[in-house]
Formats: sequence, C-alpha cells, structure tokens
Amino acid sequence: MLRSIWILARKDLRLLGRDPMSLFFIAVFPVILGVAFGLMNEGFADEPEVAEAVLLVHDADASEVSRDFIAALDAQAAVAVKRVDSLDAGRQEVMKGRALGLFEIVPGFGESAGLVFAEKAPRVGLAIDPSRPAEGQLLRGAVMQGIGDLVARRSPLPGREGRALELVTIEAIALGHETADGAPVDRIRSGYDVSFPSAILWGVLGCIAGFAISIARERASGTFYRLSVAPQPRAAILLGKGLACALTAIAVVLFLTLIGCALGLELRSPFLFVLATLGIAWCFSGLMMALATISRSENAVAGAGWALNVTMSLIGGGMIPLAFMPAGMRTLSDFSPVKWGILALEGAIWRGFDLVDLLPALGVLILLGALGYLFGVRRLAAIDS
Amino acid sequence: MIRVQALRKSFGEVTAVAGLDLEVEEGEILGLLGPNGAGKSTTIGMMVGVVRPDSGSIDVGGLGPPSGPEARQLMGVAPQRLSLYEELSGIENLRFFARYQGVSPERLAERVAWALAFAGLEEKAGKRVRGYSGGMQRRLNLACAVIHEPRLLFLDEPTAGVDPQSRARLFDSIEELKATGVTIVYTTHHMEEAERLCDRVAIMDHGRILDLGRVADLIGRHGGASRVEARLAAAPPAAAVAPGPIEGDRLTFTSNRALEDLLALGQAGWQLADFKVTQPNLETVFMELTGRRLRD
Repeated sequence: MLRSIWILARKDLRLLGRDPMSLFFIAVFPVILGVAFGLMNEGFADEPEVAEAVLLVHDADASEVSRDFIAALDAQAAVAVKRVDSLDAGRQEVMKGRALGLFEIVPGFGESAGLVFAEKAPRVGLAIDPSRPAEGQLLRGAVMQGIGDLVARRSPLPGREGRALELVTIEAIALGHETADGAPVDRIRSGYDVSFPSAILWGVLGCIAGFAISIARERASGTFYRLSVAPQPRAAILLGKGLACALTAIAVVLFLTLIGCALGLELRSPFLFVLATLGIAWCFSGLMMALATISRSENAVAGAGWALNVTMSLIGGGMIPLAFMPAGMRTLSDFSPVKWGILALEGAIWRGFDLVDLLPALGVLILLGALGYLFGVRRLAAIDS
Repeated sequence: MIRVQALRKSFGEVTAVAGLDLEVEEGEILGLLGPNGAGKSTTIGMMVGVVRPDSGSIDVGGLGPPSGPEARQLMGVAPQRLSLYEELSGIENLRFFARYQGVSPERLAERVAWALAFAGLEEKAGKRVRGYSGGMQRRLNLACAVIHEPRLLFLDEPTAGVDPQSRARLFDSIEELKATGVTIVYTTHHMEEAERLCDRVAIMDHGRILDLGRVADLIGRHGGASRVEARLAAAPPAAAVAPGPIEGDRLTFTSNRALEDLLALGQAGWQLADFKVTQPNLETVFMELTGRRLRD
C-alpha cells in the first residue's frame, strides 16, 4: 500500500507542477502577502518609522494658554496637529477618514487649564474615528501629556519651576536574545519575522484548497473510477493525496521561509522550525482529507474550501492579528489550526520557544490532523457505497 | 469468468438492478445493451466492485467478489468518460496506471511500449493528452485499461465520439484482445458494434435482462418477418391478390420467406422494376424488447 500511496502522490505533485495558477496561489501569492505585511510591520524593526496620527484642533478659546497647549501637542512625535475653523468642518474630516480625531478647546480653557487649584477643571471635547478605537487611546494619552505639561508650567512645584512634569520614565526592556557570539539582539530583527508565519499559513491554506478539489475533479473526469478498480485499497487514493499535500505544504513552508530569510527574517531554532513544519504539514493535509470528502461535487468542495479557509484564517489571526481581537474572539481562535500553526512558527522564528513551549501548539496540530485523516478515510468509504 | 447471481441494487426508492443473473464465459465478448436508465452502469459498477450490491453475489474467475485484490488484479476497465490525466503525456498516463495496477518495474518499459503500439500512439507518446484528438484519447483510454494484462475487461462505450478511422482501429484492437483470450463485457448503444464484435448479447431494461443469446438467435426469437418493398413496372395482373398494400407503383409486405414470395409473384405475372428486402437486425430486436418510448 505504501508503494501505491507514493505512486499517487508523485502523480499529484507532477500535476501540480503543471498547473501555473495553483502554483501561483500556493507559492507566489503568500510571498506577496508576506512582503506586504512585513513592510507594514516595520514598527517591529530596530528603527521604527511611526506614522503620525492627524489630530484636528478647533481652538474656540484662542488664548495664549490654548496656543501653547496646541504647540505642545504638535511637538509630540505621535501627533500631527491641524487646525480647523469650525467643529463641523472637523467632524466631516474625521468621518471621511482624513484625521484620527477632533479636539475642541472650549472658551475659558486658558483661564483654568494647568492651574491645579482652579475652581473648575478646563473643558475640552474629543472625537475619535469610530473605526480606530485603539489609536484613539493613544490620542487620549497625548492630550493628557499636553495637560500635564501645562500643569508643570502654570502650577510648578517649588524647586521645579520651568521643568516639564515627568511622573514616570518608561524605559524599553529588551525582549530579544543573544546571538551565537554573545551579541544582544534587542528586538525582532525584521518585520518579516512577524509577517511571514501568517504568509506561510496562507500558502498552506492554498495547498489544501487545491488538493481537496482534486479528488472531486478526479471523480468528474472518471480517473477516480479507474483508480477504484485497481487492486489497491480505496483509502490509498486519499492517502496518496494526503502525502502529496503534506509534501507540498512542507515545500511551501521551506520556500517561503527561505524567501523570508533573504528579506531579513531570522530563524532562532531550526530544530523547532522542523517540528513546527511537520506539525503543520500533518494537520493541514488531514484537514484537506476531510474537506475533500465532504461532497462528491467539485463546486461544493470548492465552496467549502473557501469558507473553511477564510473562517480558519479569520479567527486564527491569519487576517487580523489576534492582539486586535476582543477576548471572545481570542478564545474562539483556539479552535483554529491557523492560530496554532502561526504560533508554532513564531515560536521557532522569534518567540524563543523551547520544546516544552512548542508542545501545546504541536499537540493541537497533530490532533486536528489525525481527526481530519480519520474523517476523510471513513467518509470516503461511506460516500460511494 | 464472471458469474452474477440474484444481483439487486436500489438507490432510495429507485430500483436500478432488480435480481440479475448473468454468466460470462472465458474468452467471449458479451454485449450489454439497454436504453438509458436500464441499469447497465450500475450492473458494471457492481461487477467491478465500486458499487456495493444490496443483495446477490458476484464471483470473478473463482476468486470471489470483485472487491478482493486478487479478483481486481484480473480486471481492467475503460470507462465511458475519458479517464485520463490531461496534463500528463500519453506515456506518463500509461506509466502511472501501469505502476498503480501493480506492473513490476522490470516489466514496466516493455508493457508501456506494447501499449503505445497497441494504441498507435508511439509518435505522440510525449505529448500532453490535452492536445490529443478524440480518437487518440479513446485509444489511450483503452490502452490504460489493458496495460496490466487483465483477463477480464469492461468496456463502456469504447467508441463514443470517435471518427470512423479510430473506430476501425478500436475494433481491431478489441478483436486482438479477444484473440489472446481476454474476456470482455462490452456496453454500447451502437447495434452494429454489438453485431460485429459480440459473441452473445444481453438486452437489459428496468434492471433486468430481457433476453440473452447469440445475435442470430435473438433475431430469430424477436426480429419478426423481413420487410419487402417492390416497385411495379406495370399494373398488377388481373384478378391477382396483392400480398400487401399498393400505393402508386409501390408494393410493400412482410414475409418470413421473402425471396420465395418474390419468385411466386413473378410466376403469377407481376412485373417488378426493382425490390428491397430489409431483414430484421439487432436494432429491431432491441426496439421490440425495450419499446419505442423515449427514456430520460
């Protein structure tokens, strides 16, 4: 049986090699994704270039204090201040996505702002683009920092006149590791360290979609019938596809990792990387088997493949980083093999996992793969009877 | 070579095969004829072991049911759909199916060379199947079915959609296989193919075999009389009794002894310009047994 599985797998690999569109989606498209997301992730690199958030300011107070406050805001690295003549104009700009927020300085601001013992606290208004709540929090922080500076200037503590109010000094803690020659590596070396695990999983998802549909296609073309009559176990047909899919997945992981390395990705543990790659290949080839036998119809398998891939990727962090998801979604992501695949690769690439750290992710991948293989083989027997 | 007893198969409420008995002798070609929906494909599916029967038994070459690996080793199938990998070349398809069917590495090159010659595809062996003509694909489809030297071959509409040259080549190939002792179960809608190739013919409908036998015997049992059409050179003799209706100068009648009746007409003074005798054939038998009602 092993020989027949290998014969089938070799045939499928040869067919894949002659299908340029499939190759594009398995190998080239994920590279494009990886590079694009890697460029977006420049913030992880050593010398980040942070895009400034545009804050619109409507100064209805027009006092010297408000002008100083606006200048202090503008001096902050994360904020670019732009004045607007009216609140309505500011609202329009924010709604159209041209600015992150709108800040209104209400008349009377200059009378009390920065005075610790003033009768009434100064009033300001703030609106944030509803689609960017996380960045909105940064903006609130910037406003508070500006107010703190005003307090330092207008209500100085004895002996600290003229010095900015600094309640705490935040220093960066290096999350990195040491290289073989002992030199410290403080951060993720490249944005590609973060973007390529997701891109690799996209490539693997392309793999399973392509192989899953090939069984339905063999049914339609009649080759499945011919193979079924051969003196080989029926399961060999499916296992042959599984082997071809697993080998392709391994090739995709290696190929994309090589591309990533060429761009600056750093592989911290080759041994764990090999384990992660094998776990991913096993898991996703098993899922391919389940998907392939879900229906006899090519269209149904294609539709199911698309739905499964998008869902797995969406909840697993392949589209939106898990960090940006609400708590409920993050719990749900535990059910997506994409999450565990990405985590296993990240563990080997930049998270500095040891074998024990990797085991949970590896265990989930092995379990899901085994369930997929089991379902596929049983379903294949049922579907034709 | 293959014996089928009391075979039944239903799909939901539809009975596809309703208690079928059939025995195919070693070395013969058995034609399986029937209208669409008669149950031929399901019967073949059960005979090759890809459809599980509800009841009944099948024995292949004394080796038991067709699901067993030894029985499968004896069988080859050329499905009606061209079951080939279009992105592989002809030689790659042959090598793949040969290996998968269990041809040993030592014999692989020899068998592939034989199959290419058998299909007349030596010059196109390295071209992708996608670029083959319909006839070339059909010939390759047959070659892939016999690459492992099966003793029992199932051919499902093996000449569908091919030109006369390729059809003649396929006939020659099938006769070549028969000469080597291969047993063949042949399904077709072309009556002349069955008449030419098959030793016996089974006519199926509604999941049952309506009759089975040599073509001549079937015609004798169900074909009825010959049809005679004659053109009169002159008016019929006075007081002569016509054997059938006359329309203008055309006389038509049916007869089991057409030539004797024509001679008798001449002796009775009938002057015939020409005549045509249409003998019953397998198509007549088929229509007689299965009716003229259109099937889905």
